[in-house]
Amino acid sequence: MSTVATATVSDVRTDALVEFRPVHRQCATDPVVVTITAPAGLSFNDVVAALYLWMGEDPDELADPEYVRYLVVSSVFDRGGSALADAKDEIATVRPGSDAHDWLTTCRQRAAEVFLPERPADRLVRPTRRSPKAARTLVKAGA
Amino acid sequence: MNTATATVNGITTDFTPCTRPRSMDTPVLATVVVSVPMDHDDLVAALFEWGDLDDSCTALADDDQARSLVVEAVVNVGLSRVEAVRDDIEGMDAGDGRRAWLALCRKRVTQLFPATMPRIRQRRQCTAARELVIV
Repeated sequence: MSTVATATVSDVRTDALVEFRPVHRQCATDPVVVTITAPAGLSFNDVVAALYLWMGEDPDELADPEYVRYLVVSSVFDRGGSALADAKDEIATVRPGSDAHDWLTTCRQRAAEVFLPERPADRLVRPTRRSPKAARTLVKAGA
Repeated sequence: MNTATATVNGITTDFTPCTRPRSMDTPVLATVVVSVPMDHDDLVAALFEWGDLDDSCTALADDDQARSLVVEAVVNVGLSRVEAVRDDIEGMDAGDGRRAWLALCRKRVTQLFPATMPRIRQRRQCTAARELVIV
C-alpha cells in the first residue's frame, strides 16, 4: 500500500487530486496495513480557517490554486477538524490592522477565488496566476 | 452531530465529523475525500487517544465503534495528534497507569486488523525529512 496519502478536493470548479505525505508517515518505516478513506465537508469558513492555520506562509505562495488545495487538505487531516474549530474561534477575535487580519484577508480572498463559483466578471478581468498583488488589488477594488 | 461515512480497508464505517455539527446549516463549499495509510502503531495510537471517554471500553469492544474511533481520530483529532500519541506511547514508563488501556488497544487492533502484526519500529531522523517535505 502507498505511504503517500491522496485526497480529492471537489468543489463547483473542479475535482482536484492532491497528494501529500501526512505527518504521521513522514518518519515511519513500518508497513502500511490499513487505508482509511474518509470525507470532510467544508464550508467557506472551514476553508478559510484551514488556510488561516498557515499564518507565516508567504502570501504570494497562495497564488497557486494547487498549493491552496494542498494547504487545505494538510490542515484538515494533519491538524484535524478540532484545529479548524479552534482557528475559527481565533478568527472571531482577530483585530483589524493586525498581521493576523492581513493574513485572514488573504485567506478569504484566496478561498473565494479558488473555491467559490466563478462569476462572469472574473473571466473578463482575471489576473495572471503569477501576479497575486494584482489579484488582490482587483478584489479590493471590486469590494 | 451529522454523520458521514468512511471506509476502513473497504469496510463502511459511520463517524461524526466535528466540522459539521447538526446545528451547522452553512453550505458545504468543498468536499475533501482523503485516503490515509496507517500502520499498526498508528492504529493503536488512534484508539489510545480515546482513553478518557466514559464509555471507551464499551466502544472499543464493538467492532463498528472501534473503527469509528479510528476514523474520528484521523478526521477530527488529526494525524499530527496521532503522531504525538504514538511518540507518547513509545516513551511510556513501565509503571504508567495507562498501560492497561494500551494493552487493550493493541489487542483490539490485532483482532480488527489481523494483518497488522506489531514490529520493532525503526525510526530515522525525522527533522530532515520534514524539512524536505515542507520545502
